[in-house]
Amino acid sequence: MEKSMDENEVFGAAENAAGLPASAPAEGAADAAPDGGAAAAGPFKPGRSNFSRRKRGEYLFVACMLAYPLIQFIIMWAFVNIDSVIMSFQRYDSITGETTFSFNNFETWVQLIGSNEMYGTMVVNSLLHSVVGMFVIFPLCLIMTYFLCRKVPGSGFFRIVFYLPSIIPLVVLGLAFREGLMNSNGIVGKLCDLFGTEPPAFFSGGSITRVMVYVFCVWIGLGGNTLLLSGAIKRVPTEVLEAAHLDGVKTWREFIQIVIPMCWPTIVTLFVMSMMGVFSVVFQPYFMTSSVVPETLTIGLQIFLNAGAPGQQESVAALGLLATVCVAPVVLVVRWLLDRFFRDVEY
Amino acid sequence: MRKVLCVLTAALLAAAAVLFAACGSSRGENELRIVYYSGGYGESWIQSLADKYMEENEGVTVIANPDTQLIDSVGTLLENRPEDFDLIFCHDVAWESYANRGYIYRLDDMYSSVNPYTGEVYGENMWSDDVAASAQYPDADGNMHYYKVPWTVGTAGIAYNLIVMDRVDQWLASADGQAYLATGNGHITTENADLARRWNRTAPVSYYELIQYCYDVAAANLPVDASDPTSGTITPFTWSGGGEQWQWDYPLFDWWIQLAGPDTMNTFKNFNDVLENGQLDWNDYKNPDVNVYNPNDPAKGDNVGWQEFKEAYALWYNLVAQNSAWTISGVADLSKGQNESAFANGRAAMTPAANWVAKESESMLAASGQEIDIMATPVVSDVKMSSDYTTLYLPNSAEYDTASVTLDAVRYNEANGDDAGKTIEINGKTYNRVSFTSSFGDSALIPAGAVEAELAVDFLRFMQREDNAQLFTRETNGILLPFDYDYSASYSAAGETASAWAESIFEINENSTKFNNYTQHPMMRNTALRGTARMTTVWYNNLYYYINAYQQPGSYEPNDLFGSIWGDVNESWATYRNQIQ
Repeated sequence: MEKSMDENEVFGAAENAAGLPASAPAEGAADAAPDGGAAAAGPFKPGRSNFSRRKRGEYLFVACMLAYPLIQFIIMWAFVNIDSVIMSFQRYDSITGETTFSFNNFETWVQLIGSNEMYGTMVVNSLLHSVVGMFVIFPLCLIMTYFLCRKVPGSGFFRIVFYLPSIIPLVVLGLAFREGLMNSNGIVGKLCDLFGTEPPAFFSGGSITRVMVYVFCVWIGLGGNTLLLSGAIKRVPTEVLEAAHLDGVKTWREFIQIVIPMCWPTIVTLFVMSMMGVFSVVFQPYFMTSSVVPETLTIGLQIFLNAGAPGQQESVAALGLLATVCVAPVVLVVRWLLDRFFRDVEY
Repeated sequence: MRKVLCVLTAALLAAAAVLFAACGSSRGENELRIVYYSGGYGESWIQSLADKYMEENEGVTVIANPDTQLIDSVGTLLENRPEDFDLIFCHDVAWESYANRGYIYRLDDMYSSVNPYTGEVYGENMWSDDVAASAQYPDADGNMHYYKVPWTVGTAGIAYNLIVMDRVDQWLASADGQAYLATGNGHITTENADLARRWNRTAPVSYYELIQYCYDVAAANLPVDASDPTSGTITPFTWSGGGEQWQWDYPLFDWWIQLAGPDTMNTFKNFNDVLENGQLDWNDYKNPDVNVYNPNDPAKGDNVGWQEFKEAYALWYNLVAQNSAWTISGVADLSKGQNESAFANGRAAMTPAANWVAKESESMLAASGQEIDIMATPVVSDVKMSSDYTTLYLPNSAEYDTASVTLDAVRYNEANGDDAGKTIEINGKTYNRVSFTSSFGDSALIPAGAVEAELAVDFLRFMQREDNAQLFTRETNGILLPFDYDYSASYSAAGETASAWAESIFEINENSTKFNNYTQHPMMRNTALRGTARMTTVWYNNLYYYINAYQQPGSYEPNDLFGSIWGDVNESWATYRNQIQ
C-alpha cells in the first residue's frame, strides 16, 4: 500500500503549487543520500523521486480535468467542422447512397442565390440581420450599458430586466413575444379591441413579419453584451471621468470621447461578433412564424431544416462553407479597420 | 489530499462513462421495443395491439414508447442507435435516404411470404398495388426492395360541425330564415326559393352547395354561445393561417384531380417520367419535364400541364380569399392547436381537415359537446367564372349562362377504365369521385441493427390480421391501415357503433378513387426544388399563398400568381436538373 504523504510533503507540494521556493530542508537533511535517493524517514528531505511523484500527481489531476472539455472540443468543434468541409465537396447519389467528390453543391447554390427569389431573399435576410446586429442592437446595448454604469435611478432593476432574455430559453422568449402580440389574446389585440380596430397580422408572412423578427432580435439581443461592456466601462479610471467633469464635459461627450475610446478593444471585439448575425439567426424566425416563410428565411434556418435530411446535408454544408468564405474576409477587414480608429490605451 | 482528490475525480469520470455506456444496453429476452410518434392517432391503439400480441405470444414482452419529437430524432435512431428500438412508427421520414445507406431492415421476405396470421401472402393483402409499391426503393443495381409498411391510408376533406348545421337549420325555419330563403342568396342553385330547404346533417356535395352553405351560415349570424350574444359569431370557416395553412391543400388537391383526372397526380409528381402503371420510370428520372408546372396547359387526358391546379386554386380563391368575412377573425395568427380548438368549440362551421382531427380534438369535443363529421370535397360541377378566374358566377345570376370559363370535373368514363361504382351524380351528370390520400409518408420501419428484428416483423404481420387492423381503426376513430380488410365493419365486429366521423371516412374510401402526392423522384427528393419541405410538395419551393391571398386578394389572383411561379420555375430549372445528373 502506498505510503500516505506526511505533513512536510504536503506543505512542500503546496509551496510548489504556489510557486514559492521549497522550504529549507529541516535540520538533519544534509545527511540525504548524495544521489538524491529516497529521503530517510523523519524530516522532509527534497529529492528527485519525491518531486516527480508530486508533479506526476498534479499532471494527472490536471489531465483528468482537461480531458472532458478537450474531448468535447475535438468531437463537437474540430471533427464537426472538418467533416462539414469534407461533406460540402461531396455529391450524394440518391439511388446508390454513395458520395463522390464534386463542386456541384457550390455551383448549385451560386446559381440558386442568383436566380431563385426565395434563396436570394434568404441571403438578403441574413445580411440584414447582421446589419441590425451591428448598427441597432450593439449601439443600443452600448448606450444602455453606459447609462446603467452611471447608476441612473433603477439601474439595478433595469440591469436584471435587460439581461434576463440572455438566460431565458429562446423558445420561451419566442412564445411570450408571439403570444403577447397575436391579435386574438395578446396585449396588442386587447388594445385594438378597445379602439374597435383590427390588429395587424404580425406573424403570417410579409414585410411585417420580417420587421417583427427584427424587433424580437433587438429585444433579446440588448442584454447579451451587457456584462462584458459594463466590465470594460467600469475599468475606465474614475480619475479620468472626474477630471472630465471638472472640465465641464457633458454626458454625451464623455461617452463619445472618453468612454468609447478607452473601451475600444472590447467594443471592436463585440462589434465583430455581432457581425455573426449572418449565421446565428436560426430559430428566431422559426419560432415567430411556426413555419417557414420566405420573408424570414435565413441561411442558418435553411441549414437547420435540411441538415437532418440525408442527401441534403452535403448541400447545406456547402452553403455554410460558401457563406463563411464570403463573410470571413469582410470580418477580418472590418476588424483591421476598426483597430486603426483608436490606439490601445493601457490603464 | 491532492492525490485523494485526483483518485476520486478519476473514479467519478470512470463511473459516469460506465453509466452512460450501460444506458439502453439491458433488455430482456424476447422483448420487442417500439417507438411511435405520439400525435393525432392517440396512444391507445398501440397499447391495445401490444396487449393483444402479448396475450397470443407467451413469453414476449412489448414495450411501446410514445415520442412527440420522433420526427426530428428518427434519423439519429436509425443511424446511430439502431439497437434502441426494434420498430418505429413515424411520419415525415425520409426513409429512402436511410434505406440505400443500409440503415433500414429489408422486408422482402415478409412481403413475399405467407403471413401466418392471415394465411395470405403479405404483399398481396395490401390496400392497393400503389400502396405496396410506395414501400419499395431500388438498390444500386436497380432491384426494388421493400423497406417499410405504410403506417396509415389517410383521408382528407372538409370537416364540418353537426351542431352548427343543426342551428343553421333551426334558423332557416325561423321567420328571418324564411325571409332569407326567399332572397337570391337563399337559393343560389335553384331558380325559385325553397322555403323548406334544410341541411339535415347532410354535407354539401357540389361546389355551389358548399357556397350555399357558407351563405346560410353567414346569413344566420349565430352567436357561438346561444345564450350569450356577445360570444362572437359563427363563421363558415376556420383554418390555421399562422402555421398550417397548407391544410387547404386537402380540398384543393381533390378539386385539381376532379378537373384533370386521377392519372394527373402520377404524371405531375413524377415529372412526366412515369410508366403505364403510374409508377416512376427509374430509367428516365434524369429527364424531368418542366411543363408539369405550366399553368397555361391542361393536364386532362394524356397531356402534361398545371392548368387544372391553377383552376383548383381559383375555386379556393373565390370561396375563401374573395369572402374574407367567411373566415374567422384573426385567422392569420391561429396556430394548429388554436384552430382545432376554435372548430371544436363551435366557432366555425367548417375547417379543412384530414382524418386525425377527430381523434386529436377528442377531449375538446367532449368538453364542448360539439359533434363533427367530415365531408368528401364537394364536386366541381359546371362552375362558371370570369376569364381571369377572379369572379365566380352563381347559377341564379344573369352572367352564369354567358361566363367564359366553365370548370367541370371529369365525367365517369367506363371506356377509360374508371373505377366503376366510384361515382357521384349531380344535376344528371355522373362524375368520378376522387379522394386525396393524406399521411402517405407515414411509415413503420425496422432499423437494420434492431435487436429483435424478426419479432418486429412478426408484429407487423400480426397487425395485418383482420381483427387487429379493425382494432386499430376503432381505437383511432376511423383511421385506416394500408391493408385489404373490411374496415367498415371495424365497429360492428366488436359490437360497437361507429361515430359519424368514422362512418364518413369509410364511405369516402369505399366510393372514391384514391390518389396521393408521394414521390421518390430525385428531382423532388434531392434538389432545392422542394424548398423547405421535409419530403415532397406540390407547391413550388414549398411556398404557400393561402394566407397571403386571404389578406391581399388583389395581389394573388390566379393568373398572376401562377404566371409568377412559372417564371421562377423556368429560371431555376436547369440548376435543379443539374443536381440529379
